[in-house]
Amino acid sequence: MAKVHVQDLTKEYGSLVATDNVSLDIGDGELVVLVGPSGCGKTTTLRSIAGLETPTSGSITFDDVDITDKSPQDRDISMVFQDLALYPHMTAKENIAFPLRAEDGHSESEIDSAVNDIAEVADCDEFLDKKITSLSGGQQQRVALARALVRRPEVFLMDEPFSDLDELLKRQLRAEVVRLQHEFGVTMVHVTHDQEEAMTMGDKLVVMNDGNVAQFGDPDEVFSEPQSLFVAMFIGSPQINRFDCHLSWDGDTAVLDDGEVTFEVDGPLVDALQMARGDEITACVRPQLLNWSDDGSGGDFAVPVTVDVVEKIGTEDVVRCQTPNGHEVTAEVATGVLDEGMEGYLTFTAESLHLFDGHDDDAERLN
Amino acid sequence: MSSDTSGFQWFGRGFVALYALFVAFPLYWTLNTALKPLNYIGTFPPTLYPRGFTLDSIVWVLTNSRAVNAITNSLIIASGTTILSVILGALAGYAFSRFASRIDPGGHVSFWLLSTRMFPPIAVVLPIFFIYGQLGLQDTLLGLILLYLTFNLPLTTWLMRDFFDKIPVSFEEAAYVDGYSRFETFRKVVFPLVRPGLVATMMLAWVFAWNEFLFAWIITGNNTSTITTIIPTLIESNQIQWNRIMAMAVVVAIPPTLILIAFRDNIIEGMTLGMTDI
Repeated sequence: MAKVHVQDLTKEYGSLVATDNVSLDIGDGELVVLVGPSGCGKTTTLRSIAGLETPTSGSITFDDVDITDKSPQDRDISMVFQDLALYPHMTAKENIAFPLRAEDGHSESEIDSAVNDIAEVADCDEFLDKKITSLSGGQQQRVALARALVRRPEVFLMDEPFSDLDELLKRQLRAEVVRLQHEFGVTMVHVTHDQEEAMTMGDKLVVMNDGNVAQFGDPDEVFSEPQSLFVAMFIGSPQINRFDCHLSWDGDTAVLDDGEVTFEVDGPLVDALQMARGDEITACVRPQLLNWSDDGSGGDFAVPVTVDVVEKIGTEDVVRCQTPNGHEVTAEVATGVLDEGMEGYLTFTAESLHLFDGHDDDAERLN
Repeated sequence: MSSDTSGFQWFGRGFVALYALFVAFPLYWTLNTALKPLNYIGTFPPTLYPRGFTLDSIVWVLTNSRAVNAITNSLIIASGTTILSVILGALAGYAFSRFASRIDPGGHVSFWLLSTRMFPPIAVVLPIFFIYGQLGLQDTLLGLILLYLTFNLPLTTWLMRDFFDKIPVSFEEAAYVDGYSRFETFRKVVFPLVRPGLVATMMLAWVFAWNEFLFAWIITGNNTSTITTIIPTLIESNQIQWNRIMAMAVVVAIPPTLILIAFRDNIIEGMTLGMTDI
């Protein structure tokens, strides 16, 4: 097991910058998830850790040993690829044994028992003798996991292998991976574009955008205190509500006006707003923290809306509403309370407000 | 619905049977003629069976020194050019498949390679004849091996590139991560997966060299006649030795047929690029 440290990693393909000075500190035995939209540099970062890409500049260390220029063979890592990379000309068993056969000095019986042990742990012992092509998607995933873990690597890497699976199987395997990771205590880096997967699996999240680390922190922190507007918009489902406001001052009261709704802010948030560099402020609030109110009371702020669509998701409803001017606001409320066409207010408290300095993705958090 | 399907199937089978007959009849007629004595070949009406059955012409092919030499030469030339073109083509194909962005940005090199197959070969017969005269390669086995190599190499390179393209790069990367060197990875992962394609490519290269007539006719002389250049010499000024021509055809058709039978699964898989396993 190893600590992984990435320092100022930059990878350029010609004029295209895939990662731009990415730095990460991954603790021993941690499960870190790199998450972000396509092309954000998460896979490049992972492949650099694996040694499959040579960084343009920057360094990578495992346990303070610089491995930047080492080939993948010499890194003691294992990786599950997006397409799994299981070999069709071998059985499941041969695939799992494959990493062990790369090392000298294992007897056949050692390999055999190691394969059987890991197959039992990864729950794929029932189809060890089958060809890869005759296995289902979920079974293949389990074989790929077993192959990656059989050698007890220092660092375990996964490049969104679950993206092709159906939802239920995906959830099962996520839980399985987390269980295995805890059981082996292995340091793990997982890449996904699915923010929900990232939230449920990671000890730490690395939210990436445009080759940069937008935020590095534990899932709760990333969710409740997004450091930039991009993170706020990317993490969380349903997506955070956003009001692009203009800031003006009325004495000590800050007035945020998005052209339709105004929020008069006083109290502790005023200090934050005074730090703003300009008068463009984005105010965001999570759908989970909105409450329905018929008359606009019961919160610090209220937005008048009409219920547009009600999506049932079980114990709660996702309610898509519109302000009179057509700005969409989404709320998550107890099920059965609201019906399409109802008019009223969505209210929220000052504490649930996220303020960002500008309207761009990289606008920084103010409060 | 089911009657439609079976009707279509019957039609399909009938068509295939008809086509098989169409293809097989000339082959049968070759054999039929090879087994007749010369004086029965031109009789009218012709007989569907070898009238006056004799193995004389087959025996001639297998014992006449010119014929035997030609077969030996063809075997050497075809095998030599196949080995070279498959080894070089596989290496080049691998490079074009894996390092295209570095060695062939825009695909111009590989297209140029293919374009050498686009003009009629007869256009270069004369220049090649003179160049070979200068280099002393006329009427040598090596000359023909090299010549066929130049024709086969674009084909083998392109085919092998396609076969390598079918193997995801991640297959190799996974092996690197697991600790295998590039060479070991090629041996344990890439080669087993590309083998059907390799066999199909070998066969195509071999058959091309085995069957080639035009250049062999121009380049070779008495020392290195090939099977294809022996056959026209059996057309003599006063008679055409149909039985020997056909016997020669029968004998030289045997090696490709055996190859086809031995590797038919690989060849079908390779020809259709149908590496469905992956």
